Amino acid sequence: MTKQDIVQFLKAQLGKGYLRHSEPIPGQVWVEIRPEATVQAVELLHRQTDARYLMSVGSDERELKDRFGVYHLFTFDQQHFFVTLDVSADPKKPRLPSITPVIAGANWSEREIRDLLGVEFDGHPDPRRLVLSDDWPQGVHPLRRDFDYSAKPPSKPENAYPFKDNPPGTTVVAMGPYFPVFEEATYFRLYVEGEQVVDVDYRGFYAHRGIEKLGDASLTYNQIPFIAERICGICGFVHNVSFCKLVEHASGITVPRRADYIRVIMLELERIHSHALWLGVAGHIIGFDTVLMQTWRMREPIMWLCEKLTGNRKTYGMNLIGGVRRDIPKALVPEIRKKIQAMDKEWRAVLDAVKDDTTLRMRLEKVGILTKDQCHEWAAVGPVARAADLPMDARKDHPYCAYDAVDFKVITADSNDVWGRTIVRILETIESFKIVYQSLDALMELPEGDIITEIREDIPAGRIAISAVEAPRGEDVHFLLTGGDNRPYRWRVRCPTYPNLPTVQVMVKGEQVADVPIILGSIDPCFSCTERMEVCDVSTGSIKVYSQEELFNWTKNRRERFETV
Amino acid sequence: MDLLKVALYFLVYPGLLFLFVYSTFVEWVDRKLYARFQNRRGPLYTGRAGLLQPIADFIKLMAKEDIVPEAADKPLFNAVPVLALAAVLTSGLLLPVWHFTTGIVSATSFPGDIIVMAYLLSLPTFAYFLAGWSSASMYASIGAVRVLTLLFSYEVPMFLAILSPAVLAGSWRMAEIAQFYQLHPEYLPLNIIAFAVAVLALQAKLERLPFDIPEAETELVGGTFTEYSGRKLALFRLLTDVQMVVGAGFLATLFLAGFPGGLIPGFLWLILKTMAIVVILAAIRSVTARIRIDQMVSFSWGYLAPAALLQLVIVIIMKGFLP
Repeated sequence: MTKQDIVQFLKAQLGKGYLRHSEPIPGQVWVEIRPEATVQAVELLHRQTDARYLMSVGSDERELKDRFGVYHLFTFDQQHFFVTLDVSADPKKPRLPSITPVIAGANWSEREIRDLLGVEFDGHPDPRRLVLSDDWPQGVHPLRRDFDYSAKPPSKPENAYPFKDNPPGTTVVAMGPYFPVFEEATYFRLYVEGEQVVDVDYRGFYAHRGIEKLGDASLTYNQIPFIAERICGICGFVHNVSFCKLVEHASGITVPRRADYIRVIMLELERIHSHALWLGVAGHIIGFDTVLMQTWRMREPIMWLCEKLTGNRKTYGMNLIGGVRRDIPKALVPEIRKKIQAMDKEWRAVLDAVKDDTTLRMRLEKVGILTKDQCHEWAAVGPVARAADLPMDARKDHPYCAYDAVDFKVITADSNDVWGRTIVRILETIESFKIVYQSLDALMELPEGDIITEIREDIPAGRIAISAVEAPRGEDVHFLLTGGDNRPYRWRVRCPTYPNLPTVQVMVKGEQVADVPIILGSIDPCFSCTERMEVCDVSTGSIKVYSQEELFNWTKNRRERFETV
Repeated sequence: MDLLKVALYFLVYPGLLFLFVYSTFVEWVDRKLYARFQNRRGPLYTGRAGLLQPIADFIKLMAKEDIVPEAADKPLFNAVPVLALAAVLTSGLLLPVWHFTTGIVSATSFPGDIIVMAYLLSLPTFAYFLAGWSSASMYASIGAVRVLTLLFSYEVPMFLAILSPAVLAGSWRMAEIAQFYQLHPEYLPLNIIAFAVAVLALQAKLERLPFDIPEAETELVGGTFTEYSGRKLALFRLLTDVQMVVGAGFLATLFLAGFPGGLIPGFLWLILKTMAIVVILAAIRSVTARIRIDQMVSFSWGYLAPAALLQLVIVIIMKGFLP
């Protein structure tokens, strides 16, 4: 179906519920509908077309259009465009019909909108708190425009989170809020019978930082890329590129080709070190620490390479709206290629070793099943969906940067289990090597220095843009409604773990307690790492930062000192 | 003179002192090998090449705060580590290291000591169960149940496996079994299947990868030992090391012809043969992932037990042909 077909189809089916449509940015269709027609429209898209649900965005537009806007975002992967259903809610008593009964994956989006903006969703099956903390007062909605970003409401501890009741005959096993395998705070409450998981409940968002609010209220376009990069400690660059693409879409500027390729190289380096990290963590979760040690050893040269290219192992601070801050000189290209080739060789050895390992297969095969239909229902993304034979990949579906010019395969598997996700990630890394080689070739041909397009004019208010960037964990979607004072009116981030995490609740039901950590691990929830050491002398106030050589020498001397004793 | 000999036996070799020192050395070897398999350096700083690291760890843990949960069954919770360690240290005394003539029957070497040894080596497993059960923690309780399930999986293959060298030697006394194979080393390869089964069962008994199911830290925090801290945890850790030494010595006695040749050569044989088994155990640990408890049960009854039975049949048939 083409864009016109979709619009005609909706118009014909919805009748009076249909209001108007527009296409402000090529490939991003906006369809305004009446609130009463929401469920019907979503059902039509979800059940009768190839649409895949992305997320719902709420925005407080009382100043602009005297309404609360709720946007339901869909993508047509094979046809390469987005369709957004735009619904208005009453500014005084915002109520809308819930779409969660139709699409299970909308559960979190709607609860988040309710928490942060106060829009109620009628017919929502699980209207508990999601984002706000347990002691946040009722009726205070922090993402409304009239809520100051630095305000602190009084603590109301009586709003404790109501967990599900125990199913009869079960006991509770708490995984979280702090648990050995979870590097971040999250709480999975397992209801188990013997070793079998009967039901599960989830409470998270313990570390909600309000970054979107900062973007809407305090920072400017030029500052946001840097805070966007700090959303995630592993795939930060993805968020940075996603945001920059939004503004580039909205202002209509073109990024220099060389900057595109540099972005691709950094994105792929990030994917390489992220997948290496994941494989190690997965090994650790099932007790195979040799995998952890070996993959992290391979990963280390890539981290040093990132530092050489950008100045940092992680959180590169490399990207700007319109281009990149640093060029990759042609003189460096052979060295990069050498390092990637070294990792490439070792990684293929890893693939051979993992493929034939008996105990790994015993633990990973037929565990954490999520079928194609369930993926569609829960809007799962990334390796989770690709392991269920859904060939979605934002790099192919909505090409950005220079991905239209490089040749690579979208890796899929059809086993629906943790084993499939493992193999998909390992093979994907090999594709990443290929992309880096091609991008390096392109860098050799393009002229050095042409890395940024500056924006000359103000970005007008009221423009809307969507961007999707393929993170190592799945596709990362950002949404932007531009505002007047050189900052977004509404900026919404949907990281890939957001749709994937609820699927864990589906995957663990009926599995063994022993499998829960690796099932959760198989969606690759994010965690961050800090490196480098800073020593501060309190008496003089002087700060000394040790270099790589100094640290190495320090460890070496320390060893010698002890060995001679 | 006799009294001195008994005191030496109980306190020095193969008693308390030897077991403590050698078990820390074995832990060091195990850690070092595991580290080298993973491209790490392992212990480095304490003592030459980190040799004293296990002792340092033990002392440090002994000095840490010892917490007993409010809800725990306190007398049991406190007694279990001591009792279990006592059982393993006693089993160490049964290793036939001083018995160069089988003529004398003593309190530490008598017909049927192989059964007592197997029994004493099983006691810590029950202690683990009681430890988990008395902790009154959900992780420890699940761990305790897993300990018992694990015990039922590996114990039968283990017993069947140690049966076959005994049947071939025609004795229930370890010293005599070892002597039989010292006289007939050509019979040793006949027990190779039982040896493999026994090594795997020992790995399971020691709750090491891929069988560390009851204390899987990524699933159950610390399993049976979740609530243990300070010196009780230190005792448990020491216990596992001693158990590794005694278990390796037990297998070396039965499958590798014991420790012949008097005090000094016997001692060297002991080190050499137990170390060989420890190297195998460390290698298994570094190339496997933890399997699930249900997979463990089906592995034990599907492969280990039939293999041990097959071995027993082979040995019985061979016994008919041998002089």
